[in-house]
Amino acid sequence: MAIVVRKIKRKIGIRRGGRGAESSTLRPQYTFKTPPCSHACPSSEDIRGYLVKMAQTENYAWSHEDAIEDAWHTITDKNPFPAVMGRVCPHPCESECNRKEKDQAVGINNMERFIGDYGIENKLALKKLNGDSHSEKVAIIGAGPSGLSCAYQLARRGYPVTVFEMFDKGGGMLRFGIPIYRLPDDVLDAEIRKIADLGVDIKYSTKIGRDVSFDNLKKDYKAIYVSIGAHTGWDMNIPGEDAANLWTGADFLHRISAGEKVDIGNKVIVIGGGDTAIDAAMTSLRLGADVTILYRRTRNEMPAIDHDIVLAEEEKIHFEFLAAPVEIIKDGSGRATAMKCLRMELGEPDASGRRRPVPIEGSEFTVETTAVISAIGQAPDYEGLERFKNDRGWINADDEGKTEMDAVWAGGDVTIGLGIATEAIGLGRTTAASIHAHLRGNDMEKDPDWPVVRTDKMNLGHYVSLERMQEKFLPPAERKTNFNEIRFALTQEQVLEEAKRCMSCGRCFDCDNCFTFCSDSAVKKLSKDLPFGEHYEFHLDTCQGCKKCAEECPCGFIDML
Amino acid sequence: MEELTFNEIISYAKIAEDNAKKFYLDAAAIAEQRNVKEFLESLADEEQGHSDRLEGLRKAIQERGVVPQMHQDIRNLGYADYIEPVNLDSDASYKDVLEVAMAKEKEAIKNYESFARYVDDPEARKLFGLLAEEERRHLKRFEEDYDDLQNQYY
Repeated sequence: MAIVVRKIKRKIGIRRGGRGAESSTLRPQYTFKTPPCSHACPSSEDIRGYLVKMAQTENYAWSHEDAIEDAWHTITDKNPFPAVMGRVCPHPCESECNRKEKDQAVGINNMERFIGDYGIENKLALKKLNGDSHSEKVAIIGAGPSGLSCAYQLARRGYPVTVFEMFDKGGGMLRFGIPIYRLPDDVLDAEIRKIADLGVDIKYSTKIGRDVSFDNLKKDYKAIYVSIGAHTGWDMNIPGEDAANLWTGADFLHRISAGEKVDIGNKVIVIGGGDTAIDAAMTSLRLGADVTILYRRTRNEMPAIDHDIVLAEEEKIHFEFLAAPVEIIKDGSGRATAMKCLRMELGEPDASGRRRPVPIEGSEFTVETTAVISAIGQAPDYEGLERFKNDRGWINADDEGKTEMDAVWAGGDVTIGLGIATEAIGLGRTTAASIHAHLRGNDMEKDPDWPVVRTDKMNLGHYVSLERMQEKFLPPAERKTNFNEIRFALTQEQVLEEAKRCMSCGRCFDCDNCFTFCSDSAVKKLSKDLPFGEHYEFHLDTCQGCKKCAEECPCGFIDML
Repeated sequence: MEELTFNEIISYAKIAEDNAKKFYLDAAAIAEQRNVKEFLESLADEEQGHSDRLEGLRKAIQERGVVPQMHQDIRNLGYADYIEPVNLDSDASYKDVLEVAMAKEKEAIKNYESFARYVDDPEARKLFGLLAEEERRHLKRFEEDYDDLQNQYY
């Protein structure tokens, strides 16, 4: 079974149009284009590549398992964390999916999760790119998604790579910022282990700048990638913030992740509107507290992933919008007992494009609390690395990740300023290419720069409407009292069905339309042993330029030039 | 206070602006971050601009004999009410400078507002009010920059 398109009920040879129906000086050309999913994916995953292959298993006599294994290798070519990202990525790929214009976006994230889990369960191993081996040692500071992505991409090119991690476990914010009910530790551990198995040496509990000086590192390694993340929660800078029962969201989630018992009492206020605020709130709920998220704007402006806000709402977490704290009130023992707040209203848009909250004079109110968690932003810890900190608190790096210091690159949250994990992974990969080019004295290899294909160049009428395979979640009552994973994976059957919904935007998937509709015998079929996109060719000596092939091509692969 | 003339009020305000300019230039001289140094220098330039505007105001009042009307109610974001600025040293960040700048503007507003309360001459009161409004506008700009910088994810 293949991508589901409408059957053309016409015998080959009885072709629509006919000679002389229309002619022009234009001639068709098969032209590879970038699908919007890959274009939107910060890791540049070849989503179309692996989905089409899974969809075409029966056409090409592949087994389903071969196709899924091939998909795992296709994903891990760009991103060594498919099981992780299949759980935590906010999937910008789906937001841009052309299928939205037909029915619903393809469930890429669910499929990535399934393929990632398949890779773990079947002990698939990451592959080296070739047999090359290089002697230049590379140091990576930080075993978060960006550092490990860079380490993996360099190790598979044959470099000896050492990752220095200040904590006793790897994963960075994936581990210490994302609760286990969204990303279980064993999934993260399994994918980190695959990177280590490739020969990457990860030295835990070793902080560069404290345990090893940066200058010594510079002497011992030919290239350094600084990917220290942003683990320090921002202060609110309000009176009383030193209360013993006040934590930043990053600190709170880290403590919980590390297994620490945190006494939050039964009435927790979480301040903020981002993912960390939602995670801190849902974690507090699971620890038995009644939780209120206090946010200074409205729900519309919350930066958290919308679906995660819905999950929090389902769990009956309270939201207090248009309110901001101005003082923490403490008792004699230094513990917060209440919080003084101001009502806000939205003014003109700020630099983020969201309307800026402005305090309403005289609107002060007080709320009682047993713990406060402020999740308003995070910053890097520059101890021993102060030289890299720019005036805004981040590290300057160019498009290749190069800093102003020779042979030192930087990437991840520390350069982009709190992005999503897949951005960090993408930067780790492109930086590895830059480091490789630097060490070999070559130009950096770049991804193909094909134009992005949108639906105006496609023929959506050829695709059959198909319902999206929807993932399931634990019901709120069953999930909010424990840390069990809340989202279920699709089954293999569902994943293979969902793959058929991919429209292969911008690359041929052998639908035969160009061949079928050509009335000039200008399209020839070639061997299916050739790579995808190369199964047909135009013989322009007979082409009259009628454009029928381009008009009938569903996926926008044919241009008339 | 009621004996103060417009000229004296403007001169006082100009001295305050000149002091602020010197403060920023001194901080710029020791700042190590290039962007912070440039930012501090730009603030010194702005204080010079404020001083020049005061001189223009002096001329306008002398020509027309009345203090111009205030334009609008400036609503501040409230950061200057509770943020305690650090001392600007060679490691100063953009955020540190903004905190200091907000505190200085807040102090200037308080000064002008208290002067306005102590003068009897309605035109002098209006002038202090106008100067306070000007400082409030400066404060709002710094608060918005601070909000954009510090609360971009919030």
